Amino acid sequence: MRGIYTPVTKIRRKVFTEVARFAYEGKDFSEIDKIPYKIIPGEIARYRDSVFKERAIVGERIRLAMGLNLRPIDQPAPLSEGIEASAIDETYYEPPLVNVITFACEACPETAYFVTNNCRGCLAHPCTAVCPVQAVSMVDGRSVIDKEKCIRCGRCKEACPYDAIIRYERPCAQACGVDAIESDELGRAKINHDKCVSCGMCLVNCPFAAIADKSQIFQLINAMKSGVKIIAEIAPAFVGQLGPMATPEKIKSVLKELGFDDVYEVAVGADIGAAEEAEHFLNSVPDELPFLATSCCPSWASMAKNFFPEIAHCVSTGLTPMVATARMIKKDYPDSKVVFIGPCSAKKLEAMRRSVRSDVDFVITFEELMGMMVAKGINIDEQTIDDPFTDATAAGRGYPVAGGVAEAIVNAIHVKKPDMNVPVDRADSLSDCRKMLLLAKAGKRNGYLLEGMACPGGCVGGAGTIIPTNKASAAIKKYKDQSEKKNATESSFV
Amino acid sequence: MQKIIVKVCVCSNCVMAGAIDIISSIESLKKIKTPLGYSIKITPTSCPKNLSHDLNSPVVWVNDDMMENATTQTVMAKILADQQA
Repeated sequence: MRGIYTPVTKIRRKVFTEVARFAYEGKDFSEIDKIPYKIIPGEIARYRDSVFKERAIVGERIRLAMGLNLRPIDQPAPLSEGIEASAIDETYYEPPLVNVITFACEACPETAYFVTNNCRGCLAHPCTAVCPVQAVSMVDGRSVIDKEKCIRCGRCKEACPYDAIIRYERPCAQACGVDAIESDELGRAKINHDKCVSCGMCLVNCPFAAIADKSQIFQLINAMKSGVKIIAEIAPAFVGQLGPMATPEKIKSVLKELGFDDVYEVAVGADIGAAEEAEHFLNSVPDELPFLATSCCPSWASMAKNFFPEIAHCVSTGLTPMVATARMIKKDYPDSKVVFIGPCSAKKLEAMRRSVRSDVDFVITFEELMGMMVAKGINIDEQTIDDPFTDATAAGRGYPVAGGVAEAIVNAIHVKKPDMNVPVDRADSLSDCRKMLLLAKAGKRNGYLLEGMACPGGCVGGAGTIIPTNKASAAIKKYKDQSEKKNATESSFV
Repeated sequence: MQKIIVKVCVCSNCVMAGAIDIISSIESLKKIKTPLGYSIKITPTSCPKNLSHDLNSPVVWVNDDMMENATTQTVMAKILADQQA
């Protein structure tokens, strides 16, 4: 459903806008109870079986957007429970980041093979012949699968001449590349937080809008109101995200209008990262490390460490672009707070790590940023002044599109060793990343540079993006081609 | 061949409310192999300043008829109706 605006998208974004508005207006906490009525007006249910349930779900989403935990369903608690603690001007975070709103979950059945109406009850019925556990039989002239016996091998599906047998999967579990979606006793999705790497793919793929991550816009707006200097660092995936009027030249002025004191492009940090990882590759592969894996995607890096501890040391230890840029900012503005604005939900957790915490104060997504802009009535049009970024190279600006990181690193390697052959393998989506690391673990990727990205298409497919992935990739390519400097090593910060 | 002109407002409100997804889905019609019998020109535009946007975004104009709270579905329906008219 990525790239299609559905009621799921609509509700998610309205929640961000209204929470931002609530924070800007600085209303009494009890007023929070009015927000679900604003988002779900009237008395006729539009999305679910009752308007009360719709509002209750929106209420939980509002809590998450304010950084609060979900309320226990079986305990009485006002919507504003705990809000005093979260109404601060610094990060407020209680794990977990990604949450299933259980009563919004439709408890979709787990993976199964299913015979559709396409079944003609054919004479051949090869489905019964190929089943290794005799789970398929013909009943009343149609093929039937015994769910108890079925081992989900898929052979019946392959054998059916009418494409009548389908594999059915829960959208959240299908989107999850680390098998973190389990079921509770009522069959509802339950996230195994030991496995979850917070990529956010489940929350954008659940067709019932039952999964959401926590946001920091409430605390960020409080910080902006407190008068402290707030500096934004915007991820290179920003190009095109705020609409076609928001050209890269205009982003800085718009963010300043929104209240940021200065704006840096994270592509600068990406340049630094690319040069560092190129160096790392030249120094360690193949003597110290069999291969080098990129480090910029936090979900990919966490997955690699969780699932493949024996090769975890092969993930580069270079600073991620977010952290490299934040450190630059803290040097330029020592008493400021740094906000990373990006497409990513996992960056919210990366910024919580002890070593990163002092550098990055807040992490918000493009969707959440846009909610702030709408709440404050800020628009981008022809009148918005051009204030272009001048620091990054094409290499750093190309990071958010799958393949861009490896390309930047290889080009940086070629500056030092022009004739060196650097074999590259890459994967975008955590399930493909896992397959790639399996090969690497088996020694089949020795000497390689491995690029891993958790989201399909790269960061441009992240959970916090606004525009369709293909459009974003095209916009980034255009911006990249316009960049004066091409190679990361040409950056004046490297 | 008949030409249908679609303008989509891309102010913050409209982008947040799915304007880009409407543009994308209308653009994708160009890739359909079955001839549609009409051509579509689609342009992003900014809204007239006096238009309040809180409640009616996204705003789309199909052949200069303004549509409020537009969705891919309603825009497609309007394009079909105009094309048959």
